[in-house]
Amino acid sequence: MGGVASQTASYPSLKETVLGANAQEARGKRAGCGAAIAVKRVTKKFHLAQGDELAVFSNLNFEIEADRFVTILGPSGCGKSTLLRMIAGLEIPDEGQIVLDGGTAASRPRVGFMLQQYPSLPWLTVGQNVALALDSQNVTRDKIRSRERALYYLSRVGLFGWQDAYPHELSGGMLQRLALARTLAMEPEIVLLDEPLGALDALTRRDLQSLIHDLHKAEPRTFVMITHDVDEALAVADRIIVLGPSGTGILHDSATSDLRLDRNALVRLLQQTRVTFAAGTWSGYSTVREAVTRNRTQGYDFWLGMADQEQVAALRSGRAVGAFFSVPSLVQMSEELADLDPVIVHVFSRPASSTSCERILINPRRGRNALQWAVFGEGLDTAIVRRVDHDACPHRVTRYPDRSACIRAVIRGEADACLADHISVAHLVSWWQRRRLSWRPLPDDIWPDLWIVLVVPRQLITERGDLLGYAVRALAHDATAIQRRGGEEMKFFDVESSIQMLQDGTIETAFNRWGGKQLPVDPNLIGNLRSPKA
Amino acid sequence: MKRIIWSTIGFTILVLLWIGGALYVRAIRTDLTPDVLERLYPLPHQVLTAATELPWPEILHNVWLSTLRVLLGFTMAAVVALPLGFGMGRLWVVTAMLEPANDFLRYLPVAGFSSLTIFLLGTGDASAILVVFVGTVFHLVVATADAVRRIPSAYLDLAHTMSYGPLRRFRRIIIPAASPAVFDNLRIAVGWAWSYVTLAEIMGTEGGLGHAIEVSRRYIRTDQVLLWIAIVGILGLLSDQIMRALSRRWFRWAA
Repeated sequence: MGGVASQTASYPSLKETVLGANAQEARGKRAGCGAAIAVKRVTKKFHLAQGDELAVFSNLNFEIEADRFVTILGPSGCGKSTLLRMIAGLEIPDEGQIVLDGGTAASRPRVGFMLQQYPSLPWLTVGQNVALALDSQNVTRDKIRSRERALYYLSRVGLFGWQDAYPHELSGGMLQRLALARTLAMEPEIVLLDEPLGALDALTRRDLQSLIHDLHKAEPRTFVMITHDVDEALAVADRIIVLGPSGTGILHDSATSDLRLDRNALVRLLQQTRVTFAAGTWSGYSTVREAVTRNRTQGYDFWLGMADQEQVAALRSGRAVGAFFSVPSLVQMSEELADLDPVIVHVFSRPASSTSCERILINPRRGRNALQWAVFGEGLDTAIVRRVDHDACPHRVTRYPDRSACIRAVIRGEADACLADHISVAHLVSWWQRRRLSWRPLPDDIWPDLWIVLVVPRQLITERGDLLGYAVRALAHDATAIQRRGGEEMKFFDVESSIQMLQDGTIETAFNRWGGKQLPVDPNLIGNLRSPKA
Repeated sequence: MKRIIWSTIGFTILVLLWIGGALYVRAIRTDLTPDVLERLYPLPHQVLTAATELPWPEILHNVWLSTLRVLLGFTMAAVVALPLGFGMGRLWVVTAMLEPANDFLRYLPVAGFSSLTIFLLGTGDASAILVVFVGTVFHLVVATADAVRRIPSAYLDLAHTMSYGPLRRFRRIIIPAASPAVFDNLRIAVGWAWSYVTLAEIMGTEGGLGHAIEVSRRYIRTDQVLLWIAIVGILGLLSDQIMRALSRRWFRWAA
């Protein structure tokens, strides 16, 4: 072992002897070669539940030159990992092909793939884990030689001396180093890294980033790394590809684009790709089966935080695919929207649009009165806040002695009311309070102007149906980030006129006309709520 | 230390319940004479006396017979079940072929089999071994297949990226990845094996701990019956602890 240690010190000469002859050969062969990876018209679909399909990529085209370091950025769920798995041969594209190193199937280049999870085999020692990769390539069957080379790669990533330890004895950062060593030990022409540093602390990340960068500089190979961290991408890569949400394809490619995007621009770009909408969901969104087979989708975009008129303009110009309206404003817009032939694809309950109210929900006062508006299992999963007066919100919540008084006040527009999701409330109230609340459940169809519908022109549905369906489903599930602007700039009708429209049936007519399946509000109940029995 | 104290308390409560129960039944059953009652409902000290009375060679002989039967039946079951389980975990053809039949067989009552085996194979070792085999093999197949199916797909992806062929993937990835769970299942199956061997011996197989239970019962020696049952329990516990220790030693990485 000591011998090996002294050898690694004289690294440059050792590299020649330790690196496999075939790796050297392959590198020589590849020198001057054009694209190491060519993705040609690749389409990949996934089958979802209910028979729908989700096109992750449609007609994706790009090339990666040999010995470059490329990072792929993109929002989660955009298909980054799928792309990498397709390059590695773990998944097969539905259409198109991925050509590696300009070669054919017979002379397929070696691909090292460092996976995001389970990067090492826990039943083997660190040394054996690395040797495994050597063995798999039939580089050598000679045990001593393979051990020597395993040690060489361990020393390259700074794990020399740990070869007899087991993976469970290593820290997270060391495990990633081990995975890196194993990937390199395969002597791959193409190295694929799937968020290799995702689960590490900032310092270790920085450390390993520079290690990966140095490894690439010392022994140039084609590196493709997935990350969602813009800084990481900038630190290691010499080319950055930004993927849009699934189906969109490449949003930005630093090699082909004329634009030079700096860090902030990249962050902004990524943020734009994320469509989030904090909302409780009314369980009935209509799936858009109509267009399941048509996938020539280029992209979609939902615009939040715009005034109603702006949204209509965006829809009409094609800048936006969908627009969010409150039910009453939809009614008012009926004339303007008629030519777009809109379809309601989803109904949301209104998000908690104010940060102050949000805080109340998360951190309600422990006082008895603060808990009067919890609702359990009534179909309203997430927080709903009706905010009348921005500043008044925290105060008004506690003023009412009981829940029916609160509801009364909300209906009259005098107060704010909160419904918290039952999990967070469960943390905050005692069991007997929960029991008491569940004995007196709220009707789940209140407050017509709290419902927001997502409207999409019918034509777009036929064009981008499945994708849209997926996006809507994602919206429905992603209640984590609250777009502050979303509620503030959207026009909401006052409660009186909302109720008026509900009661004379205007809303229901419009809702049905645009393909909404069932109005989430029963007009009759609203009338009762206005004058609750004492 | 605290643990030991609480364990002792739990054990003491158990013994007190035993004493209380026995004394209570003795008190309310007026239809029997005191000496019969004493034989039917023994107290702990009577069982301990029985332990000193029984000849050691007999105890050891019975322990040896039962252990042998457990080992043979269980080993046979493992030899048959593990390959089938691995096959079922990896190949849908094998699953389709075997799973329905296996699921049916494993719900058949082993006790029913037991009388049949004695009828067919006589009262020798063979019938007890067969009962142990039948009692464990079908469950082991299912449990092994489950363990193989639960191997994280990332390990298989890893094998793929290293261009492993099916054989090497099986030897290098699938067997080691599944082995801790498989071994755990074996440990549980050994527990069943002890119950089934006792059952077979009570049903009629010559010799062994179950047979001893049956004989003692015939002579209304409840104290001896309890003693034999305790011996089976201790043996089961012992085999469990041995397997546990082996598992800890071999599969430290899986802990």
